[in-house]
Amino acid sequence: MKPFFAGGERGCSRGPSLWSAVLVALVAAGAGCAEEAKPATPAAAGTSTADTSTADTAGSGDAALDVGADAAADTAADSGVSDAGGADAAVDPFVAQLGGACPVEKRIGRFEVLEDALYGSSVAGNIADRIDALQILVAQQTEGACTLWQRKAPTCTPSCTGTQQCVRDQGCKPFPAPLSTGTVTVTGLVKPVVMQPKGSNLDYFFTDFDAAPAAVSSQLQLTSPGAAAAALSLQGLGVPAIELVNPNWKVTKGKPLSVQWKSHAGPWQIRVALNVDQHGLSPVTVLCETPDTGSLTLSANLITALLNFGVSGAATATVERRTADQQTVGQGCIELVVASRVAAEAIAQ
Amino acid sequence: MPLTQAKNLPHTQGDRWTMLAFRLGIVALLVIGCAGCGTEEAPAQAALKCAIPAGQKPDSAAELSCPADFAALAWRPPGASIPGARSTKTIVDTADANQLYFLNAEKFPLHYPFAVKYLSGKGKPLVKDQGSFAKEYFSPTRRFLLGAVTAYDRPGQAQPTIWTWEIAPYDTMSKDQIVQAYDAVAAKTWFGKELYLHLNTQALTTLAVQLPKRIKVITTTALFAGSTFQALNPGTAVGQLRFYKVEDLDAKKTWVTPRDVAVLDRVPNDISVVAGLVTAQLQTPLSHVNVLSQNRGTPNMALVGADTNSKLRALENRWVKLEVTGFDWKIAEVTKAEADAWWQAHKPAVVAVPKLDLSVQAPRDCTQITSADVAAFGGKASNYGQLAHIPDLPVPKAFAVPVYFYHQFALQHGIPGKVAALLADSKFTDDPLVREKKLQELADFVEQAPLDPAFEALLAAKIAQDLPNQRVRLRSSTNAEDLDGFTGAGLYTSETFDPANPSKGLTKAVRKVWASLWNLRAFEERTWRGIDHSAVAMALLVHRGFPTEDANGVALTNNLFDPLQPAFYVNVQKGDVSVVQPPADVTTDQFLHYFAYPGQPVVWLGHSSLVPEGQQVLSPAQIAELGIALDRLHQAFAPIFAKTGQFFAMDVEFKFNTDPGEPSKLWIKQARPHQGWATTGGQ
Repeated sequence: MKPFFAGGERGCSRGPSLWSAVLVALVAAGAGCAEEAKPATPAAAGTSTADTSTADTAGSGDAALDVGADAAADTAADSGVSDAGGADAAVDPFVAQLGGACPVEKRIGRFEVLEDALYGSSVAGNIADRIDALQILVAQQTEGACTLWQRKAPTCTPSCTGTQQCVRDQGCKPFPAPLSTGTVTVTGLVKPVVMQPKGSNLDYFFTDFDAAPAAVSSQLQLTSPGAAAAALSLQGLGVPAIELVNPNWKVTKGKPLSVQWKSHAGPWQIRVALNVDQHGLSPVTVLCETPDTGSLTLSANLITALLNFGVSGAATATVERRTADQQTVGQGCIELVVASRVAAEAIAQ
Repeated sequence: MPLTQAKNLPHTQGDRWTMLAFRLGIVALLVIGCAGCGTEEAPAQAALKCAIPAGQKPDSAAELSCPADFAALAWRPPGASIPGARSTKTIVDTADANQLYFLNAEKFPLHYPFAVKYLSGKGKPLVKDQGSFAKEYFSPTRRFLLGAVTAYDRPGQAQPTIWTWEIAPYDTMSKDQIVQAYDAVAAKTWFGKELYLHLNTQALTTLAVQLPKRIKVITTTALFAGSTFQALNPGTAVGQLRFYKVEDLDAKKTWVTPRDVAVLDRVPNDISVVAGLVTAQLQTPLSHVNVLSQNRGTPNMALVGADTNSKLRALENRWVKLEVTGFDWKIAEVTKAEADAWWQAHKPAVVAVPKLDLSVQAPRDCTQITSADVAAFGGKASNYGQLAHIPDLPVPKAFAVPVYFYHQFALQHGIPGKVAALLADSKFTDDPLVREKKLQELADFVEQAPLDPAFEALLAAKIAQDLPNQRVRLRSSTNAEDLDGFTGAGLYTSETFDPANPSKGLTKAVRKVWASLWNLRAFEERTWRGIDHSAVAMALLVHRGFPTEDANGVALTNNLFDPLQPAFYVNVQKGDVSVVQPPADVTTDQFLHYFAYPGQPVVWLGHSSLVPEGQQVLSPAQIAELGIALDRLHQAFAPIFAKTGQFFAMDVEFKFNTDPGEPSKLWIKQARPHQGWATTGGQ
């Protein structure tokens, strides 16, 4: 059996393209590697992929996801692409191979190509040797396209030491350690990006962009030779900038919340994240995933449930348009998300 | 304009609120009152050269070179809800050559917004969303070392200011990381040689033995040894400043009035309505008198030596205005006319009690009762019923006797007429001594009046069926308690019925509990809040007794001192020794349990005087068991009582009890909405 993170080699298969029931089945069976399972990556950047996608109906139903507001919306059901472009259109081969985001309970690494009104444009990511228990949330309530997630800190007695974390049903386990996958190269961007891991956390990052990091529908590829972590080959698609129609949200008990943005048909999805923060450790977050239709309503029930968990500090809300791809590495998963994100001014009342 | 000497970051003016996120709540409560102390100024400060230009308040600085530098960045909240000392946050950026930042804590109450604004991108690793930032408190390979420098003022003591560097109670920083950050802070502060690492958690205390000797450490106990001031319930009171001895009050030699600002020589276990309370001994936030103060909306402070304080004595028997904030207090003389005007403008809000529901005429299992049933079963039994609906919450099996039966009893014995006569008597309403005497007579009457035989048989049969052959507690449950805005905590009486002990008979117990409806303290509290006495009746909550208590306590399901960092605040005592009305000089275990945080750290704030030093009343497993229960309870009651934007906590009574042949087990006895902090006395 191969080690999970054999230096310089692919640890395992590429993740499932949820567009393909066949691939889903293959992956579920643990068969096939990414490079075997998907067609060659199209080289041409900027090729329009609008109106080429098909419906995403596959979903694992896994009730767990990551706690981060930007990364928080990655359910196992995420395909990374949407059917907004028309169900009858032919599927662009490049789009079809996008595997969606990792199931959060398997995610050990993440790269992100981001255009963000607050943070600016960037490419960033890192990889760990194991899943971080902090990122696991549990679904509490689902209404329509939205789910209320809660992070519940597990109890370990005696308490874990500083280098360990308490993992539900597993006791104290070492905190995830960062891994390098060697030089990471991202092509298809407005400028070439080559990154080396830096710092104690082996962060990959590149922030030298003057504007959006990628043209709309440009085809991106992230590769690495592998080091302590496996070699990577992940794809993404440039997305149109997200723009909110109503950037000021009043989050009120018993009232639905309407979210509106300027829609752009294409093979991407919209994600909405809302929490009423508690020092950045909010135990509850509402996350929604929907096609790029221009509007979404968070139900009154869900808003009430969110607020009932308590409000402290400032509410935070983001909306993003994105595609996602993933690669299975051993028993973990590494993903590439290409997104345009904007924050709403949310006030909890 | 340069923000730090090295980084050329912009200056900005701070906004208004903060969270001194790394200070401890009760610890902060114990901060010594010190308006305008400025005691951090070292003797040699005249020679110090400040790093921040005079009059500026930058977003951060790379060093604190003089007291003015600290003053420009440090903050303490102006309001009463979050008490504390002055503090500035610190960040060591290991991805940038360990660059140190002292933050403008008013503008950046949390580290995260600063890190996003100044430490993300432009050649540095990105600071992502706030959820991801949480790893900065836990990851061994974290980029940032986060902390806070806090100045604790101790006027009148040999060391008038203690400077500490603190980390969040849930931070799992390693020894090396602590040393790295401490050394960085010490090297860049003019008080660096006197900087202490505050051992604010058990984990940190354990780790401290591994630290180099150059790192000064200080425990919470040592830090606050000699504390002289507590703001238990901040607010404003106008009244007549009067001095009392608790012994005299207990002996009925004298009496407080609602227009007293009362200064007591020690902490009483109970006190009738006063405009404001000052005790010459320190209190605990969950003490009965503080719960009363919060319920009444009247300020309460502890000032060691208050009974001999010259400033207070100079105003004895004068009309005064007392203002208690989270950090200090001030008092000034006012005229009688000003006092009258203030009272007119600050009449207590009238509490409307639910109209009695007399349609329920049979005992009911608490599993069939909810918080909406106050009119039929009173506040305590209704909330208890809500508890019984929470899955996996250890609540004793119980039933409730509706108010109908008390109402029938009262009609049968003419009690409404007796009460009406009392209220029409000006001697009764004007003279507290007369009031006490007459109410005692009424209570005695209730205790002697016969019960309806049919009711007595019904109750006995219910107990025999549901709670056979054991001691049973009968607890008061009026329709004027445990309401949102009026707890009525501690006003009424519970009694034990023991089928094996003739002196603890059922009839006696029922009448004793019902008679407590006319306790003086209950009557006074109802009067203070404008409650119509004739509209109040008492149901009974009936559950098993706990004859073998291992521990008992009270907990709040939120962090009273720092709502931005949710935690359970627990007071617990060994055996059945009261937590809220402790014997003189008996202290309890007090701790904050950061249950929602990874690692669920416990921060000890005080220790029981009834267990050996170094031990705690509850084991770690019991603390974990309690935390799980409090979490369930908080979430279950939030939809009922929580109001968006307002502090919400449930006030929970619990016990650990060992039955014969069984391990010690947790029981939740009661839950009521907590009143939070007052803002203005009398409101």
